[in-house]
Amino acid sequence: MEMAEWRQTILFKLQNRNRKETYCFQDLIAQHNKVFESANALRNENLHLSIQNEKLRVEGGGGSNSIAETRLSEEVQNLKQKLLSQTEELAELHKRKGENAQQIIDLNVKLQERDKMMSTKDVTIAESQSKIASLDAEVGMLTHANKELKHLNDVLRDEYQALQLAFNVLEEKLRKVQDENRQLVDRLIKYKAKDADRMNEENDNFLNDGSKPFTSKLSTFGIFRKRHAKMQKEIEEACRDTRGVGSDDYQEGYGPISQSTLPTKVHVKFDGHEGEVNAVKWSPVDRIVVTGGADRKVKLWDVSKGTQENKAILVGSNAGVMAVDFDTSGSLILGASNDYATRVWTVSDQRLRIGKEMEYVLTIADFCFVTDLH
Amino acid sequence: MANDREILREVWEGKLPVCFKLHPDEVVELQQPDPFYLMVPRLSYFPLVTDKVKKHFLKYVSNDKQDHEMWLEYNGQPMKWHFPIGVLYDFLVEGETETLPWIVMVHFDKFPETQIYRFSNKEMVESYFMACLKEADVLKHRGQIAANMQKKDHNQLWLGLQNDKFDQFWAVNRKLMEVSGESEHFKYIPFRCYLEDGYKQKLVRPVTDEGKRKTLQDLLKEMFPEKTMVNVKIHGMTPPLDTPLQWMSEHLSYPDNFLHLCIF
Amino acid sequence: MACPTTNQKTNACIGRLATAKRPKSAVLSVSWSLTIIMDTGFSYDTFEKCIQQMYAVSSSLLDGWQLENKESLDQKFLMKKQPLHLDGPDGTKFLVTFEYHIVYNICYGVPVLCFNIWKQDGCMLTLEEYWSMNANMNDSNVYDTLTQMDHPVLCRPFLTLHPCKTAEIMQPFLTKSKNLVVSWLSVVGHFVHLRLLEDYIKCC
Repeated sequence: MEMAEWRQTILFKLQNRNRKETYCFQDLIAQHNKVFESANALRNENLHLSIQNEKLRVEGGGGSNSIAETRLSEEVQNLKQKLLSQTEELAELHKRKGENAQQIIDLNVKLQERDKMMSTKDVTIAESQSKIASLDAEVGMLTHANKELKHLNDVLRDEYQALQLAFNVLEEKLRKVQDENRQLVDRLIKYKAKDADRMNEENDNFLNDGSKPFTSKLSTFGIFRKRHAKMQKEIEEACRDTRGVGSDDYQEGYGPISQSTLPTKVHVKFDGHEGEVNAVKWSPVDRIVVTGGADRKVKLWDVSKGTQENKAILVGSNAGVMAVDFDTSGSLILGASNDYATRVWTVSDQRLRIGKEMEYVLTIADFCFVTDLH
Repeated sequence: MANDREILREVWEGKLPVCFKLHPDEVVELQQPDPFYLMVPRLSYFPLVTDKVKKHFLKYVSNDKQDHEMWLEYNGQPMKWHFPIGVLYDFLVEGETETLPWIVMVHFDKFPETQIYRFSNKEMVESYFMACLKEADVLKHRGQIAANMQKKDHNQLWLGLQNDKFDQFWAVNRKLMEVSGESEHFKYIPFRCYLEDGYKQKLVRPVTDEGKRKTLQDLLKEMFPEKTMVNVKIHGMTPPLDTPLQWMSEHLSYPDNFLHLCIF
Repeated sequence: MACPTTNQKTNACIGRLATAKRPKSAVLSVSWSLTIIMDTGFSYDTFEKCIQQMYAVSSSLLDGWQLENKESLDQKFLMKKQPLHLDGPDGTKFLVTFEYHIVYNICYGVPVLCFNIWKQDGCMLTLEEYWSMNANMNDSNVYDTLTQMDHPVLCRPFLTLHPCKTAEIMQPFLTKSKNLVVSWLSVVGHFVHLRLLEDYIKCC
């Protein structure tokens, strides 16, 4: 190829271009890129180092010396191991804590159940206690009633015994009395016989004076008739002689038994009861009279002041009171009535003490207290 | 035959200093990224040289754009990467002198798919390059020489271009620059005239009907019959209008065997 | 336009220069799946005529094809927007809009079918996504056949059926069909969900 002008021009222009565009900038850009890359690399390294630095700082190390670093790294290793073991322990403890918490929960549950059971038991106990209390009360009541019944029973027994005793005593007395009576009757018969004999004798005497066999009898009769007429006269005199016998003249036991005078004048007259008065009795101690009437009442009268004073009315009988009596101390009053029962009242408070029934029908005419009657 | 080694060498050595800057709207880090400076060969294509650029700027872009295609823009215009770098520079930075380094904006967002090809890997660039080679050869030799090439020749061409290896590349490209036996010239001259809105191609023979060698002037007349004053730029310089077309095609072609002429 | 004349002259040149060669032979490369370009005799003018015809048919049928032109380049192409249902990989159907362009590729001298698929949210469907939904394209050579390439006129990325095999496809129709574009489209269209109505076939 010839070196044509155009070729030279082209070559020249190309070379120019290259000089301008390429060579100026080539080195510059190459250097720039190198610097850029190294800057990048350094930046990355810096980043790595700063990260490392942070790590080391956190772990407590800081030495830049290599030996120190190895020592530090050893320490770091140790610390890491310790930390690891610590964390393991911690995990273990946490686990145990969790288990304990679980146990606690279970125990709480059990406790709650037990509490519930206990509360139910308490409830039952309370119920039982209340039942017991009520039963006790019942028992108490029953024992009381039992006691009362026993008491009554005892009382009854005692009364029965007493009555039995009284009965015995009375039987004895009766026997005695009967014996006495018999004796007396015998004596009487004897005496009568004697009398008769005497009469006979008298009659005989009379008759002897007069006829003998019939006159003896007639004489007795005559004596009798004389004596009888004398006695009748005496009785009429006594009846006419209504001299009042005051209570001062009354003496216990001994007294003018053989000389009994009949009251002729009424000292006091009052209506004591609404109906018939069936019984009267003096108190052995005070000047109190107790009367029992058909109006079923027993009344106490105080006659110490000359007139009667109604001191008390003792009620309780269901039928007419037929007999009344005081005890020896004068504190109790015994009343018998047609309702087959006898009752005891205290004088002081006029309260019924005992009301007893007799088993057998008895229209009591008269009886006496026995001292140890209770 | 392309045996003016000096010229070929000068053409091959052409490199441009480019300053890649990430578009400020796409920066999500607190720090503005440093611009990336690079010497790029005029004869190469942008996708082959911008790996490092992408890597550098990808750190400063939001995470959802990490797998987006990078695209370049100058003066508001997206740059078609399938044009050689030198062509883009001559065409876009026309009339402005002393503007080196060339400041190019890097984008990751809103790829302008209607204006530039998508490319996801270097194989696409290679296939496009090969297609251009084929087309050029079709024009020059009706495709005969290219058809007879082996796969390893294609590889060698591609690797030579990629790695900036002049000898490796020209060892194979020489064959494509040979004229077929009887004729002393190519059938047609493979060229493109770049205008504002695209490029023009025509079937232009290197010789007249009489057999006279045609010059650049003739080509321009054929291409633009009504224009009287056309400025041509190739490889950053304006060749004399009496340069023969055949020689031009042999020596001043880009690696894809085309003459890329920027017309102003 | 210098192109058609250049093309014819090229043919003449080749005819003169390469007498020993057989310009109409097609050699398939095994390693590269590239067909050496053949003289299909398919110039831009022919292309333009074909698409004009198609546009006329489409207008009468209201099929939706639009004739677009880029003023500065004076290159015409056909465009059509069509909503379609595609089957997703999990069996669900969803609505997309296909935008088909039929453009003339200068280098290969053949028409190319390029398209974009828009989802309902405004995003484009990527190559991989479309691949997974298209049962027709079970071929493993994804990038060889369907790639993202610049629209020849609009210079924007479009999914394009690579033109390297187009010449081969068009070969049988060269003499028989009156509308090569329609013939070619009827072969390749259904790969990418493009259906041609019968009326178009009449053009051939």
